[in-house]
Amino acid sequence: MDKTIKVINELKKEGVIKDYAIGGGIAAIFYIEPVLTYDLDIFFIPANCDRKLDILSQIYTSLKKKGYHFHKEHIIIEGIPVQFLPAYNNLVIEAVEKAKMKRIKKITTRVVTPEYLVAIMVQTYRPKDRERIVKFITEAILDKKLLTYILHKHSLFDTYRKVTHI
Amino acid sequence: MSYRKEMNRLIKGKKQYHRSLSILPIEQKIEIVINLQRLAASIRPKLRKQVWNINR
Repeated sequence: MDKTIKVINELKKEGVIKDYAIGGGIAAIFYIEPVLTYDLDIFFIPANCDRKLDILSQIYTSLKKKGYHFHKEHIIIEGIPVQFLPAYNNLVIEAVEKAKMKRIKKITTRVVTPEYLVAIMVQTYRPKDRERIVKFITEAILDKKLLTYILHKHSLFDTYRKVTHI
Repeated sequence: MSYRKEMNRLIKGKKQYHRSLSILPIEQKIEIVINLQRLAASIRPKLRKQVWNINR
């Protein structure tokens, strides 16, 4: 895992991406018990915001040069399928900007905070997201004030209430 | 012990168990994820997805 993160950090150093943060299932396991997940989701802010149509091609070209191959929507980096997802709305952009530094072995990386992960899950609202929200509430250390603020800001509080039955 | 008390004790224990897993170091959690992938692949080989192939 640390080797994969190292390669992604290089993409940032080379200026291929402006910034990134780990999201999805892998980000979740930083805060809750381990869950079955298969890919490493990377939310990124592209370096060139004006080239919207080929945001991903720069990443793919750079990784292809380094010898990594593709499998469906993933790029296999050091044995782990990685999915690069451009920060697609204001909530995800904010989540990437406010991500916290974490360490895996000797490599540092940025991980979406639990409050933003919950907000993203409320926004995507798939059955597995609803399940994970409950896990976050019972297992993770959440800043409830911050979470409420984020949910209100992005008009997600009512949906969140449906899951938690507040 | 009444049924209700016994259930409360079990639920409390289950919550404590989940919390104890949630505070493990990330490296150990990743090991568990890989083991879960192997287990899932052995149970449902037709739906098998790629198990991480990493040198740890």
